Amino acid sequence: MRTPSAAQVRSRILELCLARRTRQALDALLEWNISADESPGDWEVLARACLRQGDAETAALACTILMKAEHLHGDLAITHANRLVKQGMAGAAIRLLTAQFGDRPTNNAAKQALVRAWIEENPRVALDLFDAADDEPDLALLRVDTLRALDRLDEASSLIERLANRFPEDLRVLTRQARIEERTRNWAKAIGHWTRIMQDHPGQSTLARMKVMQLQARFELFEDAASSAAGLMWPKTADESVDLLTRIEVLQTALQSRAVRDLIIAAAAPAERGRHTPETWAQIMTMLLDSGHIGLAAWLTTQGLVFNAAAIELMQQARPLLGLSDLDLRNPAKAARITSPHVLLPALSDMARTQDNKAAADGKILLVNATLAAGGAERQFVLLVKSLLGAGLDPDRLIVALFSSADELGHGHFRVALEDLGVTIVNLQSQNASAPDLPPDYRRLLALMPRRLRADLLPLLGLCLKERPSVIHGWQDRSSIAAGLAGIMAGTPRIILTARNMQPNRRLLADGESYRGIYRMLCKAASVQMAANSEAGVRDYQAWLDLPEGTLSVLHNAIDTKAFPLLRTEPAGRGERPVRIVGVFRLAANKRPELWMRTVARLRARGRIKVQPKIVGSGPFLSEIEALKGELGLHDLVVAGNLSSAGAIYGDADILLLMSRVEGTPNVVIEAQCCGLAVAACDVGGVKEALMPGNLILPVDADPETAATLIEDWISGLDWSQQEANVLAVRNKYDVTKLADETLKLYRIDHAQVLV
Amino acid sequence: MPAPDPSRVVSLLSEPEDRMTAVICDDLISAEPGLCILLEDDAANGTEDRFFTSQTAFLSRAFDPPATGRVQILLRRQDALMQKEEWERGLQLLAAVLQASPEVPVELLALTEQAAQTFATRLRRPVAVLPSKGAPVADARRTVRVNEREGTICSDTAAIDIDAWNWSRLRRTVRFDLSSVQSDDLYDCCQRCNETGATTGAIGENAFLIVVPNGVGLGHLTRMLAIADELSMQAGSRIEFWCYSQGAAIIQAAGYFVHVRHTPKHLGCRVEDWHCWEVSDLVQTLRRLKPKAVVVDGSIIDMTLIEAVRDPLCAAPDIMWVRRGMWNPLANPLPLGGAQYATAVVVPGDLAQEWDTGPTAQVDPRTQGLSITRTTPPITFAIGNEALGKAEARRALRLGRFSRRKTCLVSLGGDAFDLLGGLPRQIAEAAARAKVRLIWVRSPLARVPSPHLVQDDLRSIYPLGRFLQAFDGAISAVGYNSFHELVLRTEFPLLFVPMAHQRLDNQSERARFAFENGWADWLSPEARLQTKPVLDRFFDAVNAGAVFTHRPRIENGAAEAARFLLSPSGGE
Repeated sequence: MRTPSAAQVRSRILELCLARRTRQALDALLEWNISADESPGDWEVLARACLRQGDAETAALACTILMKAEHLHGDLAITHANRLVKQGMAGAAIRLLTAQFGDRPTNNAAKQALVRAWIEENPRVALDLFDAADDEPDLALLRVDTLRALDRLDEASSLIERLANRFPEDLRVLTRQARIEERTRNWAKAIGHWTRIMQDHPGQSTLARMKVMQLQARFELFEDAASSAAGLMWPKTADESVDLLTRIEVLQTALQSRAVRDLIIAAAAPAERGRHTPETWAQIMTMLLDSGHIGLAAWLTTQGLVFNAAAIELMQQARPLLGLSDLDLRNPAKAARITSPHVLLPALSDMARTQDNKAAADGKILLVNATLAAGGAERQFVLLVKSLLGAGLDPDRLIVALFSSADELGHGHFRVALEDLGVTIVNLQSQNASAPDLPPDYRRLLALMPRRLRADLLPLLGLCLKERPSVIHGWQDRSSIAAGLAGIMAGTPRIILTARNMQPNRRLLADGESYRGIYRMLCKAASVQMAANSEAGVRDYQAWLDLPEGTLSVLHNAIDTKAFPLLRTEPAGRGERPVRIVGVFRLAANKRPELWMRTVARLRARGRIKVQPKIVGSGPFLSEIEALKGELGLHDLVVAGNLSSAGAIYGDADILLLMSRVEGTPNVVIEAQCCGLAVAACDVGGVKEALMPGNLILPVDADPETAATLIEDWISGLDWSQQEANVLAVRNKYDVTKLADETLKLYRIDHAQVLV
Repeated sequence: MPAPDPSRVVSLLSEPEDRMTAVICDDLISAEPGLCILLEDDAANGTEDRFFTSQTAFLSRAFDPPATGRVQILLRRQDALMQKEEWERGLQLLAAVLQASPEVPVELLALTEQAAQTFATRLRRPVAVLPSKGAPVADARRTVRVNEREGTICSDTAAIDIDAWNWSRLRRTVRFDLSSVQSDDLYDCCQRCNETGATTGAIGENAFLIVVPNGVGLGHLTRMLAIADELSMQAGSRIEFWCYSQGAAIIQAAGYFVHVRHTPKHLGCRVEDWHCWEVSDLVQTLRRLKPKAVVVDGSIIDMTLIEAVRDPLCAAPDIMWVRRGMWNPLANPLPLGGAQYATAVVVPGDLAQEWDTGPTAQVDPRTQGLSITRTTPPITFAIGNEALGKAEARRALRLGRFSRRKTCLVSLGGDAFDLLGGLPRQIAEAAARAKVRLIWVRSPLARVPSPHLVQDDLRSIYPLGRFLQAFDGAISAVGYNSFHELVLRTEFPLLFVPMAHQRLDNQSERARFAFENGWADWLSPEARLQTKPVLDRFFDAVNAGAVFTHRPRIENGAAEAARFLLSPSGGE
């Protein structure tokens, strides 16, 4: 075929573009071998026509060809760079923009595009691009995004507040406000912002409703979350139907994993699958792999619905581990029962059996906890470190690894206290996750693990392989699981897993079931010892894991007696002074704040005892508590928020009342007794073991009237001198040196070795 | 005849592998005989009624606008595979959806009264019990226990996988011991099955689908034709064949509708691809035919059949496994475990069965699931194939009306010439010495005729029993059909030549049994090097016109087999 002249090419391309036949124009340029080197104008005409007409795909192809020929300029380059960033190719966008506009573009649009790219690639560089005078709203919003990417949430928050004052109706501002409040756990405010978006910006109502629903679920406001979800279901018309990914998200938020499975299987039916784009299927595949649903992912590959080569290869590698024949894999329901990490446990179990001792001679001990947030278990973790050092261990032998210690996320509450102890602290998030040089078997196992577990395990395994500790000790479930697996894979000779509560399913932990299989596998390994912090916890975990009696040990809590001195010296209820009842708990469903308040209200209504109530704590139920105060007539109830010193918490109290649905060994019960308070608490978890004589155990299912009657009778007959004796007993039972002794025994380190 | 217009169309939406889907379908159809149930979404047009078999099934599909027809949701209590929190939150979400769309009329149902009350209290809405109607039938069901943890159903002697059977079939056969059930939903399912199994009964029609495998010879096909003839004669049953045998034309010639099928080996395709197509085609046939039972003859029950009969709209046919005895002692006994999928195992009697020393002689009851076993007299092909008189038979076989020489039948099976080495030649030489004419039977399935044969003396005869009177003696392999047809229908001399290669057929013992009883001579494998005296003795007897009058005469077992298939519990 004769190649047309340049003029003919130009007029043909213009003609096709005007007729909105851009794809045909592209084909024509390719067929005629019109190179972008020689005729960039033709390609540019095409690219611009595509962008005008909304044919983003052809525009991207034309721009890519122009870019390769180094003829992509101006606004076209910026548009293409923005698209590259969206496609996860920030590096290419940066190269394109800097080649065109330099490292610090003066062109506003180019600068914005470059900032967007650097936010993805390295937000610190993005932050350097801003000038003090950058006051233009788009740039200001990008600065907010940069600060968010750097976890500098306080600065991001104040900047967005200033923008909100200037542009109160701007959707972009509202969205960022909501997202920042989410990150900083100001969930009530976040819900408020999203609700406003839902009401005022119909185009974003689905996203906003989803967000509201997710936040309500995190608040444990499940009925509200269900109502929000219902707003996305049974639409009036097909046009209002939400897309497949949103459907999945709605059902996942409502914990409907089986309905999610059914939804995916139904969407993959031959008559339905064409309604969803390859990108959607790619996202579903990622979601399935991230959540450990590898059987269903493997089934999708057999249906030809996965186009991602890496995912297909991963599934091919996984097939021998799935234990499914090709015939079995035809059945999606059967395939869906194959989940990770369960399916990987036999391979990990083999590893545990055959792994050699790979500890270094310096006898390091690696302690692992998720965060240093302001919680009882975290405080106990710091006490553990303190107790080990007190027993004579050199600080150089202790390494503390944390999944996060970011202050902005509230994860650094005890960091200073820990730093003061002089031990090495490693933030696993900042470890280079790809660093460990792992054998292929390990890499394959890790690739098939659920994302959250993989994210925990990979840096921890890297640390283990680098430090080669003699002991790895996981604290609480998440850390224990990661520590156990890392220890097995790294050949650590002693692996300690310590639970600090009742078994996960009682606490409705999302990962509970996957933990069960891993714990069972780990507990069969000779190097592993598991412990809980109460007899009740030991029994509960053993029953849950189907393990014989005596498998788990008890590792009691400890109390820092200096921090919790005797505060209450006078008997309560003398003369006109009311009995001061304090509740110290997070304002969440598990702690049953409503039951607590109704019980106190009934106690007051019965009239025999004057009571003065106070709650110390914060949490999602704050507004409900405030509302209930009025209904119950508890107008004098003080909700004090989070207090840190013993004096502030227990100083003006006589009795601690705790009515939780689930507890392990509650620190507040130990602390309150240590400060001389009498304690009434529901019979859950290790509460009974922690209570000294003369205190009150309430039935866990007691209604307010029953509980109030029992409390009234108990207070009337309280022997306050017994409480003083209890102070000594509590201090003795939860002595810090005992914690060190028990822990070292678990490590199999005797006192002579401590000083080595 | 075109199907009548349904009174109502319902799109039934359930979770994959919900074992109650078949039960619900059959209950709905029993209660409303004109009902048309659609199972797949793509078959629906959006205007029909919708029935969700669980709240989970509803939630996964509740993102599209509600149907314009009636919406029914069967509420299910928590099962063993679902966490309590997931179940609670699901119910909460359902309640919120119903509350948010008060204009959509939704009927809530439950499997049992107890479940209905539970849900009514939880949701503060009326909840009815799923209706069921049907003529009461005798409740002779056995009691079984459910081991939910192991996923099994256990009788006193055996255990089967909890989902091995279509539960609509299961409930006709067993009653559940409710004290053995742990999860709430399974309790409801079992209670529902207990309450309705004896009243709903089978909704299948007087029809049978007969599966003929691709066996070595025509044994399977012959037995199945015999049984099919009896079913037609005794009850006027509608019969269709699902046939992998190359003898499909024989069935068609007998007047039956045949689905000619191919194995993956024949097609040269991947087994898993074939499996999908096969299940799909089989399901379509079962849905249309709605047979009372699928009768399968062979040494295994293929997974395609097991999977297909789980289909909720196939009227839950029984699987009746016709499985003969006399397997070789070295045969793998594992395939006998296929009985766990069968309602009954019909064992066609074998004259030599007391000499059965293989796995079929001592079947482990633990591998037999819930099936019952019925042994019938030997089954041979008879109806409409009455034996011809000598002259008629000779004419039919083009043997000439009279002959001075005696005529001997030689039937050694499909590929005997390849397998027997020099024996055909030795037979031919011995016959020549005795001046006996040999008529070689070529199996309709045999591919390569032997070069040793004179084409004039080669016949393709089926069914053999019809033409036996044309002969004065027979040399035959000892497969089930040949053996029984010859022993039960002739008096002339017989020489049995067992084919030792048959993994699942102990021909040697059959032949030896006949020899020990004086019914026939036999050429034992040990005598193969010394065949001359045996062959000469046999041909002498043929020439002498020896008569064997003491061979057994027994009623054809096909009649009893058919009676049993028509009423499996009738004779119990």
